[in-house]
Formats: sequence, C-alpha cells, structure tokens
Amino acid sequence: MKISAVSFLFYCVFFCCFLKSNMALAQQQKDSTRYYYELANNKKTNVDLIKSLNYLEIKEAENLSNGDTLNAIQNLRMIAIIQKDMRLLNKSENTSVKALQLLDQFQTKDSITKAARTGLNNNIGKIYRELGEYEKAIKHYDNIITNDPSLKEYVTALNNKGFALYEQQKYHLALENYTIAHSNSLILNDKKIIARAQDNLGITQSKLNNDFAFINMISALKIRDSLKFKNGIITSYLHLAEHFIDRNERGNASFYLEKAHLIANEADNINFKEAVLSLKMDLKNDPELLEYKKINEEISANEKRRRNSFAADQYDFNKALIKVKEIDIIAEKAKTKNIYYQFLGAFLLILFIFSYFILKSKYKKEKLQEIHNTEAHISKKIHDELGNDVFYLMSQIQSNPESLLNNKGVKVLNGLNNIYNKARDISKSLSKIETGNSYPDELTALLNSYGSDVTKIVTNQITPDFWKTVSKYKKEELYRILQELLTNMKKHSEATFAAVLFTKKQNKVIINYADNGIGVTKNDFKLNNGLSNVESRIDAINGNITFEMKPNDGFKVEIRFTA
Amino acid sequence: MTYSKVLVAEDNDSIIKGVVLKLRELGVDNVQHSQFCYDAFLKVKKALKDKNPYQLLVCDLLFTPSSKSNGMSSGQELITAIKKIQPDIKVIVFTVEDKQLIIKSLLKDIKVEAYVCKGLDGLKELDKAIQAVGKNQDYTCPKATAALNQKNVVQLDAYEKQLLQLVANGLKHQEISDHLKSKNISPNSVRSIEDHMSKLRDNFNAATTPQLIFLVHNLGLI
Repeated sequence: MKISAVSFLFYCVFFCCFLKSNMALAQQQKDSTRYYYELANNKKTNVDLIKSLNYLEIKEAENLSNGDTLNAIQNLRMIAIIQKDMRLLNKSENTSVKALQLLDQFQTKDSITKAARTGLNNNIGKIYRELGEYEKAIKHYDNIITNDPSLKEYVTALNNKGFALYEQQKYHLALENYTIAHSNSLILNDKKIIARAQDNLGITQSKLNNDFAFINMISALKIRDSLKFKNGIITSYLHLAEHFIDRNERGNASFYLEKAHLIANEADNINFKEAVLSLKMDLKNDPELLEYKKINEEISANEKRRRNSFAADQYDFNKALIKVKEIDIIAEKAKTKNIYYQFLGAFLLILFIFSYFILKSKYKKEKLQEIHNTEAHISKKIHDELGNDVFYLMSQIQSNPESLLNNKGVKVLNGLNNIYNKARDISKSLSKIETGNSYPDELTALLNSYGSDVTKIVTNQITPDFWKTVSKYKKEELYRILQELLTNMKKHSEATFAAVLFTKKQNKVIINYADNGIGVTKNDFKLNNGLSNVESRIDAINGNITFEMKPNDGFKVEIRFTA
Repeated sequence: MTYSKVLVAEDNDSIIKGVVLKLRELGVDNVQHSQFCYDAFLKVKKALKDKNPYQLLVCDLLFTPSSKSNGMSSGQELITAIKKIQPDIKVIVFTVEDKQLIIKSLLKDIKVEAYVCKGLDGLKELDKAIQAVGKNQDYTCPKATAALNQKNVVQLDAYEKQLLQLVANGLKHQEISDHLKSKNISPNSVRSIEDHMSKLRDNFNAATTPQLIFLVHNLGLI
C-alpha cells in the first residue's frame, strides 16, 4: 500500500514535470513565431527578413507534417508578405497561390479562413498590379468580391479593381466599380474610404468628361482635409491638377500642383515630389522635357526590373548559403551520431564476446563441478558399500581365521560374493538405460534383478504403447527411482513381496509401489540417502511422490507425473 | 570333444588368469588371449588364414575403450564379426552382464552357444558350459536362466486381476464362471478358473486362496 502511494506520488510529480515542459515548449514555439513576425514587420535588414523567411518556411513544413494546415497558411501568408517586401514578386505569388490551395481544403468558411483568403487574393492582386498584369489582378479582386467578403473588404476590393481598370484606361468599367464602391462606402460610413472612392470616381469621370468629376474630387478633398490625411490630400491635389491639365486649364492646374508641391516638401516624400514634378513637366508642355520624362520612365522601369531580378538572385544566394550551413550542421550531427552508433556497436560486440566467454567458462566450471560431484558420489558409494564390507571381512579373517576357513572357506567366499554383487550393482546403477521400444523389458529386467527366491516382485501387464508418450528423460529418471526404491526394499524391508503397478489416467502416469516388509519409520526415512535421492529425482520431472509410512505394515509409495 | 586351440577375449588380467588356468585344467594346450576386441578379431582372422582356426572363443562383453578398438568396442560386435568369418566357431559369453534383453539377443540373434554370468560360481559354471558346448549342447548358467525367465517377477494380466477381484468379492468359482460368460470373457469354465487360481497361489507362495487374497490386497493389486 505504502509503495503504491509513493509510486503514485512519483507518477504525479513526473506527470506535472512532463506537462510543464510540454507547455513551456509550446510557449517557446509561439514566442519565436511571434518574434519572427515582428522581425519581418520591422524590416530591419534583408538578413532579418531572410532569417524570418527561413524560420517561417521550416515552421510551415512542420505544421504541414503535423496536419496543422491553418497555422501553415498563416505562416505562408507572412512569407508571401515578406517576399513581396523583398521585391520577390514571383516567389510571393507562388507562396500565395500555395496558401490559397491549402485554404481550399477547408469546406467551412469561418472568419479566419475568409480573412486569410481575402488577404492572400489582395496580395496577389497587388503583385500583378506592380507587374502590370492588370487582367490577372482583376481576377483576384473578383475572387474577393464573389467570396462573400465583409463590407469594408468589398469596398476595398472594388476600389482596387477599379484602379486596375483605370490603369488599363477602361474608364467605363472603372467608373462602374468606383460608383458601387462609393455608394457602399457611404453605408460603411468610413470617411477615409468614402473619400478614396469619391476621389477615384471623380478622376475617372474626369477622363470620361463627366460633369460630376470636379464636384466629386472636391468633396473627397474636403473630407480628406477634415481628416488631415496628408497622403489623401496630396492624391486629391494631383488628381485635380491632372483634371485641369487634361482640360488645358493651366492656371487651375498649377494652383493645385503648387499646393501638392508644398505638402510633398513638407512631408519630404520623394514619391510625392516625383509625382508633382512629373505633372509640372506635363504642364509646361516642353517637347524636350516630355521626351526626357519618357526616357527617364523607361530607364527607371528597366532599373526596377533589374533590381527585381537582382533581389531574387540575392535571395536565392543567401538562402543557399544558409541552407549549406544547415546541411553542414546536419551532416556534422549525422557524423557524430554515426560515430556514436559505431561506438555503441563496438561496445555491444565487446560486451557480447566477453559475456560469451564468461558464460562459456561458467558453463565449463559447472560441468566440471557436476563431474566432480558425480565422481565424489561414486567414490563415496564404493567406499561405503565395498570398502566397509572388505574391511569387515578382513577383520573377521584376522580375528577368527579357523572358523571362516572351515568347509573350504565357504564363509569367506560368501562374503566375497556379496562384495562382488555390490560392485556389480554399483556398475549397473550407472549403466546406460534402454529407453526405446524395449523399455518395458528393461523395467521387467530391473524388477527381476531385485527379486530372489525369497522375494517376489509383482507387476501388472501394460499395453505396448504405455510408454510411447513419455519422454526419454522421464523414462530414465523413473528407472533410477524404481532402482532406488527396490534397493531400499532389498536392503532394509525384509519383504517377501513387492508390487510395482503402472497405471495411466489421461496424461498422468501413476506408479504404485507396495511391499510387505517391516516398513519405514520417519527416522529411518530421514537417514535414508536413497529415498531422498528419489525425492529430488521426482522434483526433476515435475512429479510428486507420497510415502505411506507405518511401522510393521509394509511400505507404500505413490508416484505421479505428467507423461 | 576336447579343444586344442582356444581364444580368450577379456580385458581383466586376473580373470584371464583364472580362465586360462581353468582351460589348462581341462587339458587345452593352446590357450591365447586378447585384451582388445579388434586384436581378438585379427587373431581369429589370422588363424583362419593359417588354416589353424580357433575352435572356441570365451568372450567378455564389456571392454575398456581403447585406441586400438578400431570401431569395435563391445563383445557383441566382436562375436558378430567373428561368427561372420568363421560360422562354426563355438562361443561362450562370460560376463557380469545379466540383463534379460542382452542375454536374449546374444542367444537368439547372435546365436552364441553358452552364456555364463561371472560371480561366486563363475568358473564352475564356465567349466560346465565348456563341457556342454563340447557335447554340442547349448548352456546358460542358473543366473542367466533366472534372468531369462524372469521368474522373480510375477506379471499379473488384466484377466488375472479381474479373477482375483471377483474372488475377493466373495464369488464362488461357478458364479465367477457365469459372470465371465455373461461378459463374454474367456476362458470362463470352472476348470480353467481353478487352474488360474492355483497358478496364482503358486506364484505368490500362498497356501490358501484367502492368504492369496490377503497378499494381493495388501500389495494394492486389487
């Protein structure tokens, strides 16, 4: 009871430790994922990004192999965003597509998968737009629109789609999208979004010479002004300037351009500055300037392309570098492991050889010991049974030679004959036993050899196959057991009859021995070496033996063992 | 018939001496001996080749194993081999071995002429055996005969057991006969039942049937 309580306590402690370590592990994993998310978001250096990428890619593979698809998708999303930031547009596209395919496995559409799907489509749309592949971009925005998005997502998607159409100069289609976006943004009641939709609507209308163009752009500007949303305000100014440049109203155009220039300088934003100056050049309408601008755009486009491919190469190179390092580490680990296994193998081999020799020598020792024991037993027997008789005879001859040598020395001869018979019995008790088909004859011969003119041995006839199911070993042991019993009978019992009956019940062999001798007392029994031998032999064949001891009423033994 | 040339195959020096002495006593001049089976076999073979064969072989069964045995290690093997090359040689087995099986196989299968067990009267019995074999008679010493006949062992068969059981139950011979008839067990005549009972009384050294029943009951036979 005490032990079980202690072991239970131990189990509890063990379990708690296990749980704790497990939790700590989970905690650690989450922490490092967040760490890399943050590292990616802060975008310190390219190395950080690559580190984050590497980590996320490993995590993603892990998630997938663990069947944690949702986390894999989240990680893929992060990877796609990082790749886009690194200008690895094609890679980002592939990653997003892969994430989308994983998303398709989810039949149910809960908020998490929907958000992920929208985010991914948006990412791909942006990539295509940057690559100038507007048709593909539109397809992905359509994916968002048809996929039951939230109102905000819907409006954003419409805006993005409209922008793609606008860039393609498909102003009518753009107008359609912007109109819907605008009316929905009013329902959404998000001023920033309303302003964006209305501004876009305005510039598109401007291209189509729609009368509401100016009003819409001005309304959007007013909203943005009220929000003090500088990026929005400058966009509005640029659109208004463009509107007037298109209509060749230079005064109005330069009015808005100057305002835009002011903000751009204030924000010190080179992108805005570039946009403002570009429009200013358009306004000046100098053919040389315009040509310069066109060439410049071409150069920067080339530069951009070159930078893209360079970024991709750089990325691949860095990645390969890191991979090589990792492979080195793995190889090193494998090598250590290999050496470890080799050592283990060698150790086991040595252990095996040692134990083999130890066992062998032990076996040899035991065998020798056994031989010594047997030899000691035999020599003791010879001394006890023969030596004593010889000594007895010798002392008789010394003390009374005349009477012994009477009648042609018949007394001496009889004594010697007894000794001879004993010697022969010892030899017989150690001889080989026939355990084959003639085992019954062997047993009968044994019984016969212990019978005499004054002692009859009775047995029952048995069927020819009586001994067939009994193993050789058990037959041998049984023979020795009977030998001991009969020796005992002949030496001590003074019986005129001894019966040995063999019967079989199912698989049990039963042997009943009985004689009509003087019987055995408990003290005799303890002193009798032969009978204790019988007990140990019975043990060896997993049998049992019962002695019936009544002084002056014969001796009965029952032996049972399984054939 | 007396023998002029006898071979003794025996590994024990003192027994060789005794046997040789006995044979000389009987007037055999040419007594040779061998302590190894294969050596004895070669001697017989050589004598046969010299056209002066042995007439009698006195042979032990157990030999101390030796490097000269050449695959022949027991008296049985030796006698079998010799009988093959010289079928008319007389063989007397002289041994401590008194197992029924072995005596039987030597007399019946190997067909030796005499079997004598060593012991107190060993040489006397050997003398008798030599005389008997000389008159072309087979001989087994009393000890071997006892072993052969197993007369110290009484084997009760199922019929006798049943008979004893029925007698013990108090049935008269006529009733037993009727009972056996009803069970279709033969022999079942009163006469044969009486014969069996008398044989059983003899076997158990019992003067009367009650004494017999007392004995078999005490021994747990019924």
